Amino acid sequence: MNFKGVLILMAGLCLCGRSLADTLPEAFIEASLGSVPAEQQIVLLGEVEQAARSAYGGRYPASMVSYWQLEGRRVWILRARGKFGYIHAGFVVEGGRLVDTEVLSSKEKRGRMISSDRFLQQLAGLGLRKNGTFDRRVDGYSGATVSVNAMKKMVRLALVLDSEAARD
Amino acid sequence: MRKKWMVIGVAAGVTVSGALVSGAQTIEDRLAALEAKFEQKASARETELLQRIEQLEAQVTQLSKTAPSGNEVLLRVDSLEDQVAEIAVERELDPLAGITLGGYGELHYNALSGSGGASDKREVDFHRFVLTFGKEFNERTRFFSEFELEHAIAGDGQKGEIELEQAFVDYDLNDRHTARAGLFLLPVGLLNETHEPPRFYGVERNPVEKNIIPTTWWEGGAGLHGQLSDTVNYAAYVHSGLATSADDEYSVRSGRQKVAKAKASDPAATLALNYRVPGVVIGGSLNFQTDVTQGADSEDKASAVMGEVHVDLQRGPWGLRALYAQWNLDGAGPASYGADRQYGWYIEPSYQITDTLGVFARYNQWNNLAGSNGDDGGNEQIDVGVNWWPHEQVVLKADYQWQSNENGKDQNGINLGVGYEF
Repeated sequence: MNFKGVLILMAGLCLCGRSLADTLPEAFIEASLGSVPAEQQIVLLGEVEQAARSAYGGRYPASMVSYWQLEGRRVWILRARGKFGYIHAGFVVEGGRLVDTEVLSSKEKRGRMISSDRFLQQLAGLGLRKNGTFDRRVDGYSGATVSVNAMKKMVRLALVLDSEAARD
Repeated sequence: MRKKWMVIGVAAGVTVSGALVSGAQTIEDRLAALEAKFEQKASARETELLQRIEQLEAQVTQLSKTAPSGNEVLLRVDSLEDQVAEIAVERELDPLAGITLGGYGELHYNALSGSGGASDKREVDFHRFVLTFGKEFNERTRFFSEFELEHAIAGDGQKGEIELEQAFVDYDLNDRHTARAGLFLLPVGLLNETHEPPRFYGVERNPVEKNIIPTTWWEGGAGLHGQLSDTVNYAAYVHSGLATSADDEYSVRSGRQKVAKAKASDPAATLALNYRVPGVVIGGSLNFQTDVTQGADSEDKASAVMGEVHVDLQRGPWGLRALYAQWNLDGAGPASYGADRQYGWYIEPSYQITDTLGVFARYNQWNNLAGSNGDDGGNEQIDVGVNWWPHEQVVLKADYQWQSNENGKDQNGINLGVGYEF
């Protein structure tokens, strides 16, 4: 393949994907709740911080977490470190179970698959056992372990924080 | 006489009683005065105290209005952090913005007994100490690198070496396709790109990928990688080639030039495809070498092709990895040694007893002289072992290996290791 062929190939590939624009949190919240309610925050202090630390597997990189609530359904916007910076994702929780998930932004290349419907669909309906583990199996991707683990820890955190917010 | 004394007595009595009456009135007056004075003082004191209490209450009220609560303090700290971060990014004052740091490492202990002419091996070795650095220049462009110290000490006369295993720039064409240029790991096999110790079973990397792929294999070049669909990803690169020779019996592993003033007269190319769904990876790769000797065999070019297929399944606690790889080398040189065909395969079932404890077994077979003129006969190795993850990024490993090589030179025994990644 000559240089001209390479240029044509790259131009073709450029047309075969979407732009790089990330999903805005507000768009995810509106899609999940039908509107964007007032932002609320849960402070990671005391028992909440301990529970969050346990779920996240370490200190969450903020002292409080924002959420949006409407009629018992809450949207959580969280982040976790991947190999190439933070992965941002939105989680919808209702009745202690994950309803919906979307990867809002990610620079992971080997971990592209965490944005796929196949991966996200298996997260729907997830809950936590009393010992903090998922109540059913979540399969990962070989070669994308860092990205998959980042998603898992965010799901655990969303479910734990949601149970804390439900108590208030 | 008697009357006289009576008059005196009466007079005295009147005088004394009068004095007594007069004295009683004075005390009452004084007591009353004292009481009045006390009440006056007490009232004043009470008023003063009340005033001070009121002042304190006012101060407390004022303070409670102005002093932030614990939550407000955290809110302000977060807000300030965000503002500082934004300002730093905007003004490009933050030298660490977009920089990522990572790494992994592994310490090995090998206690192997040699037989049939193979040497014993009692060795402890910090096999790999790796630091990775990345930098995101903008939304589309990023750099990633991997810097490795092998065997703890490098330098003249030392057993270790310092290696640059990755240093490339990625440019996102869009959300599915990325262009890459630089020095990078080739997308071949299961371990070559993903070899952090917590991510695989066994203390040492499996001998098939080590000797046949040959892992860890990196080259300098350029190409594309990305997704063809939600389940299929690809990589296609043009890059520098291997440079093996008759001195090394045309072993592909010895042909890695590691992009160190590498001979580049004969380039190579790699194409990889993988089908991925949760818990399933099925894929393969092809590598094309225009001349694996880089012109060392002057009589003819030893072009070569490596084909490899692999599967990685994970279903609950059960896991299964398997790989087959084969090289076909052209040219009279490789054929004369029987190195014109080099192949290997392994199968590795595993079972995770708990979230932190897993066991595995692996059968490996490989032969770097499998051509018609080869006389080595190949190698076999069975491994069984255990991984314990005290943390998902830390692993302790133990395994036992049995070799059954055709040349009779076997090393059997125990391997122990500790590894980490971050």
